[in-house]
Amino acid sequence: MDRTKKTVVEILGIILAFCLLVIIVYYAGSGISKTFLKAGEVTHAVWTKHYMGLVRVLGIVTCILTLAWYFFARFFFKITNPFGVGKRTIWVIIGVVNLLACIVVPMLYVHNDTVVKLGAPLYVLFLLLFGVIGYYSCSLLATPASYKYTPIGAEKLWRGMLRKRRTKE
Amino acid sequence: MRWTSYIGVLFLLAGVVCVSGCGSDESGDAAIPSFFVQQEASSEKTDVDVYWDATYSMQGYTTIPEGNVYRNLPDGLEDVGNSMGNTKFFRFGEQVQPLEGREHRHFSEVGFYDETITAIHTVVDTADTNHLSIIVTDLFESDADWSNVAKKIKDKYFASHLAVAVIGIKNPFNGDIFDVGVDNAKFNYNSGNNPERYRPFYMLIMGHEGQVREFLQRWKDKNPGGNEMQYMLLSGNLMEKAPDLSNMEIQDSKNIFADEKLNVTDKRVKEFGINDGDESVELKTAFHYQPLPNGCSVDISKSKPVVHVYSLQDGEWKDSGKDGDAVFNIQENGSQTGDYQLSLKFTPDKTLNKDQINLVYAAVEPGYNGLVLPAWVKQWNMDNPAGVTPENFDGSKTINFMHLVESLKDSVLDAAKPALANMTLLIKY
Amino acid sequence: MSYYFISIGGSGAKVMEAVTHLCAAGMLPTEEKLYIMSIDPDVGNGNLARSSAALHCYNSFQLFKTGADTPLFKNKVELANPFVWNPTEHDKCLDDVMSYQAYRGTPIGDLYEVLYTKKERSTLLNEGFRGHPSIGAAVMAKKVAMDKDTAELSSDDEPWKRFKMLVNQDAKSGSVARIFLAGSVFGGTGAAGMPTIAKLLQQTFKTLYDEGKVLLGGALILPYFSFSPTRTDSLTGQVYASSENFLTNTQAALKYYSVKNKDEDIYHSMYFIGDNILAPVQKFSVGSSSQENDAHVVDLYGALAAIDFFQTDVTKLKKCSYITHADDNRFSWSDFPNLVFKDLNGNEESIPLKDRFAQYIRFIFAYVHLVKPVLKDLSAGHLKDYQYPWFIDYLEDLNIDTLEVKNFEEYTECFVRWLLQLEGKEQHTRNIELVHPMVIAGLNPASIHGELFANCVIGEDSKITIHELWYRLTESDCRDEYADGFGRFLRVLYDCCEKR
Repeated sequence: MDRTKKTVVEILGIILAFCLLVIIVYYAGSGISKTFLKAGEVTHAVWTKHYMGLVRVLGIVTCILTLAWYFFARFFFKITNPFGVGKRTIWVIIGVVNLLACIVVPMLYVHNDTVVKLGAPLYVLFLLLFGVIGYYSCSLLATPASYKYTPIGAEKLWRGMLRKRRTKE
Repeated sequence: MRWTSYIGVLFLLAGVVCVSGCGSDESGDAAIPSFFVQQEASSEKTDVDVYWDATYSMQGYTTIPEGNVYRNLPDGLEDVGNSMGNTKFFRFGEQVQPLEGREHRHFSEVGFYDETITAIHTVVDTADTNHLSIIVTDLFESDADWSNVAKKIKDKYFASHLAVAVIGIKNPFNGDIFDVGVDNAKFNYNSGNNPERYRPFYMLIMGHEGQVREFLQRWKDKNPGGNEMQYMLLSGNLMEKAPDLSNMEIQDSKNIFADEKLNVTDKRVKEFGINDGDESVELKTAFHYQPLPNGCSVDISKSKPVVHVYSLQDGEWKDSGKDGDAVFNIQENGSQTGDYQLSLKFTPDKTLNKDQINLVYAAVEPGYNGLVLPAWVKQWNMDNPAGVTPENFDGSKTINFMHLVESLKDSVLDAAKPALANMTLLIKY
Repeated sequence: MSYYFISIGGSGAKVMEAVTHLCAAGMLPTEEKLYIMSIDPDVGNGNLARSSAALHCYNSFQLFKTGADTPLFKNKVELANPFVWNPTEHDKCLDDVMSYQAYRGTPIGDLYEVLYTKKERSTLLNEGFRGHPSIGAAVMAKKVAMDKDTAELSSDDEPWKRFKMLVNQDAKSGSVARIFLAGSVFGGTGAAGMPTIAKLLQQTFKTLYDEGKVLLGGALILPYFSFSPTRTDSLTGQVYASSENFLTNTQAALKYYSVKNKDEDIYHSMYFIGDNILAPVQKFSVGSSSQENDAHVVDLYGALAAIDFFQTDVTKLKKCSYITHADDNRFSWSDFPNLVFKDLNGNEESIPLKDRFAQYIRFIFAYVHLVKPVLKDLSAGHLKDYQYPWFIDYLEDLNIDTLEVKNFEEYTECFVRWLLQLEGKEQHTRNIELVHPMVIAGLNPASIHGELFANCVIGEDSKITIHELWYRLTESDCRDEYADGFGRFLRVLYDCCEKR
């Protein structure tokens, strides 16, 4: 696969991964909400409708942040000499911003939307799925080659696969 | 190649999640069990049928002109009836005969009463439940077979969640009273112009509760003062608006949440979801008890909370068949009189049928002796007709009136199963 | 083995340096090994030291497994042992070599005295023949032991013993031994050696020569530089080469070759390479290590002449070849001859020099700029390896503190220096438009301007920026199963420098 195709595939992959995460978070959150929604409050059906809006918004925000890392690594970071090529700090910063978004965005959403009520387990769900699994796994699998080992743990993953492939050859 | 494989796997996963994770949008109408359904009180216009007891016992009401409400009754009834719809008059004794034109005005005359047998049960049989039926009578049934009358009223009216009101009116009386007691004795009674000795006659108002109450209100408006008039309404509703989940405040809940997946149209029924089948579900609501105007009050201390659980099987509501551990309580709530709290508790796994739509009906029924008749019933009642003699006969009371009314009360309890308050939960478990 | 290269004297050594780089770049037509030896009495010759440094480095790392189907390090070399054949002994003069004392007073001795001045006879030959080819010719003719039978040759006769053996082996196996000599015709050693050695080779392999199994080619370097001796040197009365005599010497040499070719037909192909503009040498030197002239485009032409000789079919070899360039004021890639590559089936492919060499230049520059500055620290763990994916992919498990790697890095220094000298304006009044004039930032260590990398080869916008190169390096993998170790990495780096 040439580089352009690979880039398109990776971008689509990231978007698709987050679509999948949105679906998972939606269903998981719907289930979790049953533990804290009370009978006298908004119905679960109405809650999940509003919750879907939140999940979509959060999914888009975290997807954009993940794509930001991808675009930075693919198009903006330029290497002209072998010094100062490390970008792990930036990767971490974007990751932290992502985690913060998983808390701040829902809080703002809930502030504007009187229907949605969130419990601590949902925040944990957002952090885990969008913040950690989403950003981390996407950056692990889809970081452009120049920085493919920048995400922590990428080295172990890709080096192992490379060695396996070379052994086969 | 490796990347296309990854993308392919992702697409497949997304598809699987979409298909399997899609919650079924069960929006099928979950028709509520018919036994639960209570007819909405209707106050639409209706035709009024007045059935007049034309037996000899009734003559005495027409004789004394002073303070006589009875003589103006035909016109009065016609006025009120026509304000609600078309009014038709009938006379009955053993059979029911319609009256044409202005014939009903003759009920003010002594000579119009020539029937010998009072068969109110026939009137009940004849009455059209779509009309407001009024029986003007002194409540002296031949053979004193009030149980039969009560049963017919129960089957025809209370079972269909219709209401029956009793208006008792004290009227001057001078005449013979027939069919007293089991021996069908005849007594003569003259109340003179002493209101305390006036003899009561009654109007049984039967029909849709809303129409019955409308009639009562219009009658009261047209007859604000004058002779003593008492009212009593027997109906499946024990309050103006029965406390249910559409109007009660849910104070607390545990392991249960409101939902809207099933297409429930009846506002009294609320759909809920359960979080954990092993854990106990608790639901607490509060309401303020206000007796129905003219209705029987409820002795809460004698009330009986009941819980019935049904599940929808093959399109029919059937008993869930589970022992369950549902507990429903009523207790006073706070210091304010009339404030009560309802508490429902059950374990879903033990009480509900899995993968079915369950209906949990929890209600506070009046219980045996829980429905309290108005005081005037006892006051107007004359007991022990077997020992009645012309000397101790009190014409200002009605023999076995209490018995009759209690029969009606029992009938309404049995047939309409009135509930003071209820919680009806629809749960797809 | 079919290719033999013999450099004679300082100019020949400079051509040898160019041959080294072309060889490392895989510019020879087939994958035959190249046997290289040098003839120079001035063993400490600076040119020789520099050119043989690159060659010795290459000899060390040439066994890197860069895989099959790549020109990179395709052509292996075998160095003569001893690499430099010194026809003279230390602190000997011509009288000693010719054993004058034994012939003194005899007619031979008298003839000898007539042919050579006393100064010529008594000057020590440690620094070569001082621009006196007559001295060199006599010495070489005396010392080359090629006339002995192979069985008679001893270890003292190396490297000629092995040389003879290899040529005979080629003949036996049916291949043609192509022997190429390079040297100047205006100087001392070269002028002496070019005709003498060629003649000796022809005589030694007469039968094979007549059968066409031994071919002789030569790059005869004509004057291309000039120098002025210092006042001190001229006053000490030493024997030294004089650039004023270059043209005269050249004229005489060319006349000689013209006559010789008519009578004896020694060379199958001669390549005459010179420059009408003589580049001034900054610092005059009589010889030894101080004699170190910068690389010149003539050297490159000489090396290309060798390749032309190796790649041309014997029936198409020209007796005398020369080459011109289009614009008198500049040299560009189009002024160089095409290379011909033959596959195993004998199919030939003619490719412009730039097409192959440009990639090799980028390859060396890339190594110098991206890899060399950080490799040691990466290996020692002083840098975070995740920042260098290529290190993890190819080099993490390797011990790079080896002689081969060191030699390769030394070679890159040599190459960059050679290229810089080639481009150098100090010695040219013309533009040498091969690489961007500003791309090389410095030497020792060699460094380049990364931002000029994409256009480092003039006339080729490769669009391979440093960033692009880095990307290619980290996204690709070498699928050649024969590539391994450090060679695998170099192969990948080389492939990434290909203009796509």
